[in-house]
Amino acid sequence: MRKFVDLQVRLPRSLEEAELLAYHLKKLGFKVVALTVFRPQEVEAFQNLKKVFVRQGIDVLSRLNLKPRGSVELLEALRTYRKSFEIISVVCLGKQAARQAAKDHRVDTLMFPFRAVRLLDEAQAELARFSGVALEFSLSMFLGLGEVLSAYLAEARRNVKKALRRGIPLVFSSGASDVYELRAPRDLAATAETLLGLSESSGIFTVSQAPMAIVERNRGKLNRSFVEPGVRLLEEGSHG
Amino acid sequence: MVKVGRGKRRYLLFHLTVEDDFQPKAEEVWKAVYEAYRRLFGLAGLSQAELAWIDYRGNSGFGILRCSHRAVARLRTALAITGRLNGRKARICTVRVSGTIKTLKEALRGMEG
Repeated sequence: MRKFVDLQVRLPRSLEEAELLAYHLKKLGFKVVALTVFRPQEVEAFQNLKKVFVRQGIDVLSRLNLKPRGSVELLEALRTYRKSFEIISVVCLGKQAARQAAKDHRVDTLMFPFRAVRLLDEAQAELARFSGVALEFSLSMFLGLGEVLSAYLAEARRNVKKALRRGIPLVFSSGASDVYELRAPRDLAATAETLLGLSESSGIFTVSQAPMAIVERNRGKLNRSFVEPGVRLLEEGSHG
Repeated sequence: MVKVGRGKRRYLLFHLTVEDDFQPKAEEVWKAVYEAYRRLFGLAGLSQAELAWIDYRGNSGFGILRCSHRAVARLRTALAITGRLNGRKARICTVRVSGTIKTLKEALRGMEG
């Protein structure tokens, strides 16, 4: 059965908000959700909030959105936080950080806000192809654009074509900060399909298999038995 | 059976949730959806979609819209992109899509009951 994933929902501020969010996510048909923070310190309440979602039968992940100003800042953040978060996403604001994020295996998704949407050029796409990083768009980003949405979509559609041609996975999330910004998975898929020019099957892929593959890959990496890609420790033996 | 001269149609059952449990009028909801569709796909797209407002129940938030079978994904998008109603945050989710209105009305009875 297809598992729907919302890869970006803002970390709720209280237990009551978490209860409401979990209830609505379940009602909409999501099985996995990534609770997102912008500052690593915010994640302190994560364990308590996680229980609320688990009670509703929703698998929860921790996600950090980084907004680095340069590659040095990005590398430092990745070194410090990669093992503390299951998903790490980079909001690309400058060319230097965008290039570094695209070639780094520790980054899971790249997001390009309005002012930086042109950064996803051929070179960027080529780097992303080799590192396995996905391209991500969110509904909240679209909703917040207002009158410049058409200009953004024109550029984004071109970039999506480049990404798909190179086999870069595409993820579409709600980016919700409350229950009113959540949407049903098939509605998100339809939005990706119509606004980003995807086929029907690719649309549904962006809210199910594509984010699920990232989740499974990262859970595997965070597992103790992981040594490096393709190498896993099966059993620990004693010497001699 | 599809009448000659008109294409296949689809009926969408949607659910509206508005901030502060506000219950907007049917016309306000229709106008918001219509405007969202027009903003995204233009007048030409709107004419091809053959949108029609079938039913809306303010107390439960459920409603039914009709469109051309080719416009289902576009209508879903217009509903998803409608983020505000009367200055309040709102969410419109598609609950079910069907080729006959009877199926949706039965589903709606089940959900409201």
